[in-house]
Amino acid sequence: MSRVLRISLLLAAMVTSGCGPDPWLDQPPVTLELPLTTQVLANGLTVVLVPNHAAPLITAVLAVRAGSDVEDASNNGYSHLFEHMIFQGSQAVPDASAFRDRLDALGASRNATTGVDRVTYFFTAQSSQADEALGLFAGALQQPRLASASLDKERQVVIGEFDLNESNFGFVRQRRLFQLLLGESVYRFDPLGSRDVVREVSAERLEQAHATYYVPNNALLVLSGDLTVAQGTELAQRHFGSWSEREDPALDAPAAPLPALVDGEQAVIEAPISATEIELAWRGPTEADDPEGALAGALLSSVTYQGDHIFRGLVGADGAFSATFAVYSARNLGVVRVQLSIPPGLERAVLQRLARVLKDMEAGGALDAMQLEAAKDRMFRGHLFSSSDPAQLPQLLADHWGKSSLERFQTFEDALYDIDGAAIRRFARRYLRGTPRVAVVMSSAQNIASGELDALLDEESK
Amino acid sequence: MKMLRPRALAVRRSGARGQRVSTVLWCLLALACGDPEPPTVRLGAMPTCPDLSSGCLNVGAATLDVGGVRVIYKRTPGQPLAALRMLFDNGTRGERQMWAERLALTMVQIAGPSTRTPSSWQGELDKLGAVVAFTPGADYATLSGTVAAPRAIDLWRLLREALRNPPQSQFQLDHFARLEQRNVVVRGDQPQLAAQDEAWSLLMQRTPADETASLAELSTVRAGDVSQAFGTLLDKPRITVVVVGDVLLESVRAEVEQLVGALPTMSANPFPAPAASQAGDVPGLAATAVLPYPDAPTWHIAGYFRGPPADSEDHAALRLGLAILDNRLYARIRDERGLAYTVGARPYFYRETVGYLWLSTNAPGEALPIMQTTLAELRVLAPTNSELTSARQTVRTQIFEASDTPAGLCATLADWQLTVGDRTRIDTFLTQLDTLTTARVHESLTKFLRNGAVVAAGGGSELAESQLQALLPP
Repeated sequence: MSRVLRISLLLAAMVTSGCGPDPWLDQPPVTLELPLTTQVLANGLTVVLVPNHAAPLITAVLAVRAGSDVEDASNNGYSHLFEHMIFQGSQAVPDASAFRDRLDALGASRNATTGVDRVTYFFTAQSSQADEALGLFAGALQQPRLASASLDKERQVVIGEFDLNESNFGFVRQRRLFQLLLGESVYRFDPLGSRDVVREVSAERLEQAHATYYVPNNALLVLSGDLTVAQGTELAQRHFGSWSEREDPALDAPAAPLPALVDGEQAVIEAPISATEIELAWRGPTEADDPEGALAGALLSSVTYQGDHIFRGLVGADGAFSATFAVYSARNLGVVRVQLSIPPGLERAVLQRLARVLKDMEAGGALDAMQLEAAKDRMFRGHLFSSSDPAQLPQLLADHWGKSSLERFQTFEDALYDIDGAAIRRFARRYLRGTPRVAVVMSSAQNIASGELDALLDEESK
Repeated sequence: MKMLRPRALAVRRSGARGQRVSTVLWCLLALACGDPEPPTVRLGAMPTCPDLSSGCLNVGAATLDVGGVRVIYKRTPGQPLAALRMLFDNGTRGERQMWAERLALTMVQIAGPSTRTPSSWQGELDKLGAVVAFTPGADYATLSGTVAAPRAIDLWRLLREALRNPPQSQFQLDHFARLEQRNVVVRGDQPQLAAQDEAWSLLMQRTPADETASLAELSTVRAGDVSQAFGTLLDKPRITVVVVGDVLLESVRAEVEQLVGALPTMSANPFPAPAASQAGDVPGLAATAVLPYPDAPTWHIAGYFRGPPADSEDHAALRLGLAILDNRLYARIRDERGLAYTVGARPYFYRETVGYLWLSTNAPGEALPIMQTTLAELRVLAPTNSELTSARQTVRTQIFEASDTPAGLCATLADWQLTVGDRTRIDTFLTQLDTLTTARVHESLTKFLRNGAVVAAGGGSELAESQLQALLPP
């Protein structure tokens, strides 16, 4: 079934200070038309086709609900390692070098990512080469070749990826923060995986994971670019039509509850860095339980970047180098996070200022209606710009699908503009005010001792 | 005066909601029924663009002189978005001037004109549905905007207002200078970025004292410096405007004239035009360094090679050569041996092309000799025909991928105009991809994979500086 999706590109009237009416006053909204077709193949694979002939390119994205959220301590890293193995060939092209050479010869730019909610494989190729590229991807996804030699080699690559990340102090800090926040469930928020699991996993265990999650009724295919709906339908059917439907991995089942959180848990990490880095985190809204809260949190994050929001006052000549407030929501996990980068010696002053800012934000976001509306417009603009880009749109669709459903993409504008001040206050009450908080301090010298951080924040916020 | 947002929202929402609801219903119906025979779809506002399909990027583009300012204009009928770029060919200048210009344009982007508050500026952009960005560059600075095509001229007017009434707040200046300072300071904490920065400094023959002095200059920039920077940036011969989108030429011309007419004529810009190509000025440059980061579990190696001027015939050959090198390094070090997560080679498209090599590995004793052998082979033997064929496809896909939206095409045309001096050379370049031989690619690699700098930063396994020196031929 197909439709042309129309979403308004912008709004109309404005009157601004001192400048009189702006020229776009009373002009009608501009609409962006997305020729978006959604189909479900007989095997349950959802296929979205988006013709766009701006360039002789086709972008393909195949997403599978198999990120870290479906893992536990014993298999954290399977999704990520398997994502790597897809590029090691298929039953049809078992030689890894030959598989790579064929993709290289097509000039296809390709990659894959593993996230909390999904694993996403994608390529962009010239339209004349896309059929063959899609065939290679489809073969590897449905019938991968998990040879031991390839696996041993690729697990070294993933360990190299661990090392790469762990040589970044920001990653080390984040991992510790999430450990404090999520306890033994931290693996669900760690798509990179566990080093020990990756070291020891066998090909047989990966095959089992593949058999469980890599089923068409648990996947989304998006084809965008220089193709017609008829061509896209034929491509999807030919390359994915014989993929056998199997039992649904039941990802919609209620997620396992997170362990109880100990309020005020802190870690101090000494590291040879130039600034003092302080991070605070709270458990945030999830897309499954509180989609309104997730959107309200994202909007509040956006507001804190506006020049006149109180959060910006943390940065300046006598303050922090940088300060961010961010809310990230996955299907079953959510995090509210404050990050501060502070010149040594100013830690206490900045924390005292932060305490006052947080107190105001806990009371309702510390924002006015104009700031909220501007944040909505900005977020919607980003949504539209990504929608108009033939390479970005498939990723955007996969993101909405992974977190919730395709309907989330379709209804995004309504949901966004339905968020009002009351929704922001509900967010603040539920996720900030009086809720357990954890913190990590990283500094070259221990300028802030363990436990002192909370004392500083609590004292100021009373 | 207060902004009347509720009214604006009412207009927007009433105009869009009905259409959207019907779309959602159709989508749900499709999911429920699994209709295997979708009807033919009208392509709506996404028309076929013949330019890229014909393998060319410049078809239909024009260059105009509007009051002494170069304007590149390309109409893309029916495209929903339009892109604007204003490029400042700000040339070589001292560190203080560089920071002042950078902060000046950052303030325009984020804080807007002195006639508005920052929140009013951002509010206007949000209401217009526009994105404005500032990008500093090695050769030139860019102020860019993207917006719905029917609103392109409105966005231009906002930018014009900001440039004619530049922001002057010392508070904002301190805020943005602080963020810049942090960017510089914190990069040194990360071995991967430290390796890149140090290799770049060595290539450019800068010393640690130069870098310290640069940071010190940043903290001395005052509002007066920023005001002066606007004066030198807005020197008409140094400005290029690029517009890509469904925008009428007459409107673009009129708007640029309005901006240009208000600019003073500068008798002499105190900051000289970009120097001529420096390629080959440092023969035998073979600089290396090892930066220990004892806590890091892996090594990050970054190397830069001086390449040809971007307007040289060698440019396309080197670009293909680096694509071949990239494939070989990835295949041999990562895909065949699992010795690295990330490894590769790519060009930087500056007025003097720079070749960039990178490798992050916890096994430098095994990976670096493979990199050395791979570089040495390409200096001695021509690549194969199949490698060249793959490289052509890869580079062509990269160019098209970067140019398939108005914003992307705007950036591509601007890059080629400001880097090569002629936007039409992108099509010459695309044609060259098919005509260059393996011998020509080999010649370029032999010539340019020499003068360079390689730095390793990190920890873990043993790594000796001699292993880096081996990457650079005597």
